[in-house]
Amino acid sequence: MRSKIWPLLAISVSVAFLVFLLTFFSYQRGLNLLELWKEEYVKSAAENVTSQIAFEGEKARLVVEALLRNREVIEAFTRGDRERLIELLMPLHELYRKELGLLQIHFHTAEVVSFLRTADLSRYGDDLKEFRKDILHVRNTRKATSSMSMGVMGPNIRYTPPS
Amino acid sequence: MEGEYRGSVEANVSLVEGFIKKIKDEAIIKTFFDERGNPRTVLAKSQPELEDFTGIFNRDDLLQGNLQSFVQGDYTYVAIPLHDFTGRVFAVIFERKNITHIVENERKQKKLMSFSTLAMAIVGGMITLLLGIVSEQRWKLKILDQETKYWKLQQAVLEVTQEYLKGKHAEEMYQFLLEKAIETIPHAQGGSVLVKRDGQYRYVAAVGYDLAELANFSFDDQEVEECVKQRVTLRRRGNFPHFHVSCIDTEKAKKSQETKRSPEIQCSIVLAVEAKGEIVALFNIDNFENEKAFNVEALKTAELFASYVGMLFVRVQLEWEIEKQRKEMEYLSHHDPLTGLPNRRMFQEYGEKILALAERQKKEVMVAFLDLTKFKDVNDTFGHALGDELLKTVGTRLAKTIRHNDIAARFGGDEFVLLIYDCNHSCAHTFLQRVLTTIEKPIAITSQENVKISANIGVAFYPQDGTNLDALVRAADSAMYVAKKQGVPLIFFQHTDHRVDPNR
Repeated sequence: MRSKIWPLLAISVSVAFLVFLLTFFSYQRGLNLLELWKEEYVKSAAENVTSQIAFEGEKARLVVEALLRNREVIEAFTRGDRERLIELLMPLHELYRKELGLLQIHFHTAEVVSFLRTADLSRYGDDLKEFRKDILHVRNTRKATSSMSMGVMGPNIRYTPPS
Repeated sequence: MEGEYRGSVEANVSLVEGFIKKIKDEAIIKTFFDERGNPRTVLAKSQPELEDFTGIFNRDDLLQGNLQSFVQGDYTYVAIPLHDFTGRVFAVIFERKNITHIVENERKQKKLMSFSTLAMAIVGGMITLLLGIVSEQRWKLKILDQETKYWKLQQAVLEVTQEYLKGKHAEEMYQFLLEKAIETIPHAQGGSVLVKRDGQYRYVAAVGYDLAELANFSFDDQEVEECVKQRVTLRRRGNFPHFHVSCIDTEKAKKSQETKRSPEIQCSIVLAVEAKGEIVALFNIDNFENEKAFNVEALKTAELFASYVGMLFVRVQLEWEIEKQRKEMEYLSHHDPLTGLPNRRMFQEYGEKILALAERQKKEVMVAFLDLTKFKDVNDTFGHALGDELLKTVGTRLAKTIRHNDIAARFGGDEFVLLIYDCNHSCAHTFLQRVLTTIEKPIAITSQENVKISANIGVAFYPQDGTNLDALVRAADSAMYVAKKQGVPLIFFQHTDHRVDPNR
């Protein structure tokens, strides 16, 4: 009788161990699955923020393209008529500020000198060559650039085409 | 943009204003490296402190511009470096999202698994090898089944996103999503989708119900809030006196219960899909056979589904927002923002089409150039704000005077141009007298004072005075100049000596 107990016990222990191993394997698979969810979730979260940043850039582009289609604005800028430009731009500045979170519209001359900042009309005529490499790039390549920078009111996205 | 380089123009849009303030329900913090490379906080929207992030992410990797994201504890952490024009990282956006709902699942799963491991080992050892194998097989199959379902769910949401971006109609998208949800959520047999439109939740998709019948009902925010308290709500017959979305105790809801298969529903999951902190859609997933049909697994799957669909909605909303703003921009580029009249650009585009039509149909076209008299006096006396009001009134009056297919545009300042199709000298005379009478009606500038203004009008005709729009506008402008000089209200270009310099 005693000799039969040992094989039974050995089988039971082996079975228990085997079941433990298999269940543990399933358990690991379950955990891997959860990890997969989390990875997917975090990936989506990152994509979400990135696409929202791109969306903000799109707003800047829309504003500038609307201005470039406005013949009166372009003519006033070409003539160097600041007063007329202010008259034309300020209603648009207010509208875009409310609707799109626009900080300012900024015109620069061909010499890379500030011509008009809608956020501060008293500040103009300052040389931008030293610190606005993006404007120099636009002047040299005649191609639009989209860039980000840290301004007084926090980070912002700007879109700058030649006019 | 061709030709001589005159300079450049830029628009600056604030990231803070633009999207960070919009995030309501997520903890977010942004830090920016100053000139010495040290981080400083610019805006913190919730509890986490800067150290919570800077200690977690690899600073060197961030400075090299690598996006980092991972999960720790109950949160997902995302760090997105922002580059300036030269490619230097000048700021990092850190975002932290609470994923307790997922982590809770993980904890429960772990607990369950630990217990199962031990129990199964003991039971397996104590009972029989066969029982052990059967039990193991069950677990394995369950997990495999679960894995397949989640994979299907993920594929479905991915597919919907791609279809939407390809331009598939939103209604088809909801129907497709609902079908996938019913396919994926265990024991789901039917359901419906309500989407918020113009402040009302309306049915847009259904499986197992007559959508045409459901479309007669809609619910407002308050009604939905009464019924939906959390993201996933399980409702069983008997537990609630009122059931389903129609748990609202109104006549309307009761009526909708009669028309739907509501009496047949045994249990239901109501999924609230949130985007930017607002409920944008409700998915009702129903079972018609057993009031305990939806178990923990079904709820878990439903919750995951809701969070995936929430993200999809955020993207869809972004696309809509861009489209809306594009349309607004399009409107602004063609209209004068003050008076709402077409601007010079639209006048040019539309006018050329009118002239082409006139050429084909051998018709005359009148172009009238109006310059308001005494407008400067009003501006000087009452200020620019009232001057603007006056221009608006004149704009509205002119718009009412013309026919639908004609055009009245503002060229800037106090100058307006009218383009009237199929109009000869005699018609022009009568029409412009009417315009003058309309303009000269008193305008209430303050509660006590009215002002009366008039206009000098110069008129030119196609094809006699010019065959293209520029020439016609120049001719009308020069006639107006003569009228102004002579102090008369109206002059036709042909009656001038034609020697006025059109480029004055």
